[in-house]
Parts: sequence; C-alpha cells; structure tokens
Amino acid sequence: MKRRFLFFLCIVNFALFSLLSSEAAAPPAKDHATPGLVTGKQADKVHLDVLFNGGEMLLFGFADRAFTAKDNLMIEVTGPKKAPSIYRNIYLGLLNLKIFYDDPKNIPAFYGLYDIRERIGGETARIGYLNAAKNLRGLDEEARNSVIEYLKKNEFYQVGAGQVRLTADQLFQLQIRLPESAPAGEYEVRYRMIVNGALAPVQYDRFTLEKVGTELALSDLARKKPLFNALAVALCAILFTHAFNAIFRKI
Amino acid sequence: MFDIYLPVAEITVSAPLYLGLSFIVGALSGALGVGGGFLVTPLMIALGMPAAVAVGSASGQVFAASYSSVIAARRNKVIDYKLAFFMLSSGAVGAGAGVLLFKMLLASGNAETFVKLGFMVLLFSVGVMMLRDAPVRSVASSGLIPANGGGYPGAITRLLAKRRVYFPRSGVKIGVPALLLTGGAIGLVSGFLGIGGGFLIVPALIYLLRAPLAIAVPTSQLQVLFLAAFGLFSHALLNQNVDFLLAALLIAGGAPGARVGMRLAGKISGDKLRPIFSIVMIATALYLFSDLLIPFESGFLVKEMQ
Repeated sequence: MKRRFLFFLCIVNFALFSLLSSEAAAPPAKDHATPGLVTGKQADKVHLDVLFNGGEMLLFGFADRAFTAKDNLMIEVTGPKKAPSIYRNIYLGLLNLKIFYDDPKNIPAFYGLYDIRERIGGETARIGYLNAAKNLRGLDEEARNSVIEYLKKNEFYQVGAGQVRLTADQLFQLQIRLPESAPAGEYEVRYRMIVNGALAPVQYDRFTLEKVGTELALSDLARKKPLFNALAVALCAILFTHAFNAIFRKI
Repeated sequence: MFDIYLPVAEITVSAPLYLGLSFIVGALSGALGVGGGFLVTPLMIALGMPAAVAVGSASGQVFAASYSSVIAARRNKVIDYKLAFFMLSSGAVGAGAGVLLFKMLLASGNAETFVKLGFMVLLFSVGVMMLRDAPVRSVASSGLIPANGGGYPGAITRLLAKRRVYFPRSGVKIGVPALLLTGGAIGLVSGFLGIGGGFLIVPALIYLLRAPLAIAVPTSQLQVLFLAAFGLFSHALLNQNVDFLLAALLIAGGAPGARVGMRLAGKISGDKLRPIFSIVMIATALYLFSDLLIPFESGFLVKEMQ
C-alpha cells in the first residue's frame, strides 16, 4: 500500500515538473500574443430611402501590435435571416414550370467573408462556402448550390479574399458594398483574428440597414394597409389625369 | 442618375426610362384608343420587373388611361350603361377569379411563366390581327353591324338568341348568357394579367354581340375603368403587389402620353400608327416566347426571400 502511494506521488511530481518545465521553455507570452482589436464603423445605421442605389459601409479597426506576415484577420458579416422559396425546375414541352421544393427558414439573407490575405492554402472561399451552406443542411447539394448561386448573383453572398486593407502596421479597414436589394434589418459583424494558424476569441459588432422616410411609408402602406395603397394609386391617377387635361386644354 | 428604389418591387429602376416607356405606350394607346396595359406590363417584365409587381401596378396606369377616356365619352353621351352593367356584373366575378388564379400561381412559383405565356398569346394574336387590320377597319368604315348571329357555330348562335334583352342605346338585342359569359371571360383575363382588356372588349362587343362601333368603344372604356379599379384593389388586397411609386411613374408618363397620342391621332391616320403598334406587340410577344424557351441554368430556382 505504502509502495503504491509513493509510486503515485512520483507520477504526480513528474507531471508537475513536466508542466512547469514546458512553461519555462515557452517563449515570452508577450511576443506571440493575439493583438487586441479596437473596432469601429462608419455609422450605426444605413438608411434605405427611395434614392437608395446600394450602400456602402466602412468597417475599420486598430490592433495593439503590428500585424505580422503570418497574421490574418477575417471579417464575417451576416445579414438578417430570411426564408427563400426553392422550386424544382421541370420542362413540360416548351414550358418551363416549377414545382415547390422547400423553403428553408433562417438563411442569412446577406453573408460576407473578407480577410487581409487569402488564408494559407487559399481557403477563404471554401470557408465562406461552408459557413453559408451551414444553414442549408437538409437540402440536397444541387439545391444548396442553387441558393448560394442566387445569393451570389444578387451580391448577397460575398467572398472578399484580400479585401481587408492594412492602412498602417496596426490599422485596417474594409469597405463593404450592400446591394440595392439588400434586406433591411440587423447585420452582425464578427472579427476573427488568426495568429499562427490558431483562432483568437471573436469580437462582435452590429449595424442596421433600415428603411426610412418615403421608402418606409410606402412599403408599410403596401403591406400593412393595402386598401389605402390602392386608394392612393387611384387618387393619384385621377389627380394626374385632371392636371394633364387642364394643362393640355391651355396649350 | 435619376434612379429610384421601388419599395414593393425592392429594385432600383431608372425613372426616365419608365417615364419614357409609359409616355410612348400612352401616346400609342391614346392615338389608337386602347388602354395600353397589355403592352406596358410585358415591356416592364422584359425590363426585369418582377411579374407580380408589374401586373399589380400596371392596373393603376390602365385606370388612369381609361378614366380620361370615360370623362370624354360621358360628355358625349355615347356610353351604353345598361350593356356595361350586364358585362361588368360577370366581369367583376371573372376579374376576382383571375386575381385568385394569379395568387395561386404565384404561390406555386409559376405566375411569371403563365403571365408571360398569356401575354405572348394575346400580343401575338392581336398584333397579327392589327397588322392585317381587315376586320376592325372594315366594320368601322362600313358602320354596318349584322343584325343576326349568322356565321357562328350553332352553340354560339343559340346562346346569343337565349333570353335576349334589348339595349336601347346600342339598338341591339343580345342574349344575357352570352353577355355574362363574355364579360366573365374578359374579366378573368383582365384580373389575371392586370390589364383593362379594352382590346378584347371592343372586338367582343362588335363581332360577337353585334354592338355598333360608336357605342362599343366608349362602353368598353367604362368597363376597362371598372375592371382596372377592381384589379387594382384586388391585387393590392390579396397579393400586396401594388407599388405606389411604380404606378405613379407609369401614370405620370402615360397621362401626358395619352393626350399627345390623341392629338397625334388627329394629324396622323390610325392606318399609319397601327403597323408600328402591331410590330411592337409582335416583337414583345416573340421576346417573351424566346424568354420562355431559355433552358434552366440549374435544376432549381430560388425565389426572393420572404
């Protein structure tokens, strides 16, 4: 019994010794630490009005140490969640018809992945694809690709390898283009720092794309008060007709 | 430049392009006395407007165009209200069914295909008919309307002769079932495609129901006004696909266009304008046809996110 206890103590001591010696052999923590990030953005809100022709959002930040050649910063922007309708295309003679297939809920209607330099092995695009496809589990591959193609075509899915620009050793910035049909709602920004291939804790930020003014009023009128919307169109038609009749009578 | 974002269609369009388009269609339709909805809707679809919004919003433009004509016709006292009432009573039911059919096809993802198909058939047949021109012009110039229903297959002749009602202003006796069926069918097409249906009502009144041309055209305008209003309200309430800004653009371009067209009609004969109009219609029909033939890029189609 005593011998067993001594053997156990030896093992514990050896383990502790190994741990301490590895700590002592490790390079100073300060040199390889993940830089702390201070991030900011152009505005908290992007306004979507009748003159909206796509918007831009500038994201920027500051690292508390200079970026090295091995560091990478990936910025991920995820838009509000929506439900696209997916139809299977079929041919009936000359006609192209559609059969309802699925409407997967909670798909980010905007997804962007950007970094300073294309990740080692050129993986940014693959990571972007995997992240975008994560929410499309349950669909077969062709349907999933069709959703991603749809998002790409409408600029709702962006992979910007090398788009995060270093403006100085410690400063970075990213200009995102929000397409004209970008969905209104809250956009989440995730800053992922990659140091020596390892992922550092994620930092979050948010901005909002919101309809304002006439845009908001007219969209609400059409969806929430359709009767008044139709009345407004009819009234507009009557007024325009009388106005132009009066003008043409004078000419 | 001058691009505006449409709140319901959720796309940015060029305001001058849409104003110009509606002005030209308004001018052509003003010169030829039709609403123009059957041309403006497919042209908008060809320009990339979602079919649902194009169909819903074009009703506003048709309403404006026919409103102007009805004011003028009312002043001249050439509308047969009794005839219009009979056709509208079933036309409203037909238009309601058309809007419901549109809603069903929209939910199944096939609205765009069938709207394009519907317009293709209509534009091509009317375009060819206008290019050949013979039937409308011969009746118009002669002013003669056959008194009986001779020349039709037996079933139609019997239908025309059943439960006949006399319409004093038009001076004709027409079978009520035939009137109701015609009104309902035109209403269905009108509600489904978001058009007034004037280019269907006039030939139906003249050739099928034997109404005189002088009464048929203004009476059809009154029907177009009500069908367009019915379509506008039904699409707004059932499908929420009426874009106020788009409708306002179409009205703002179409209303002066129609006036310019009316003035042009006095200077240039309809015979010269008709081929232009018919060529535009046939070209649009062929474009829609080619669009229907484009093979799918993939086995799936993803529609806008809700």
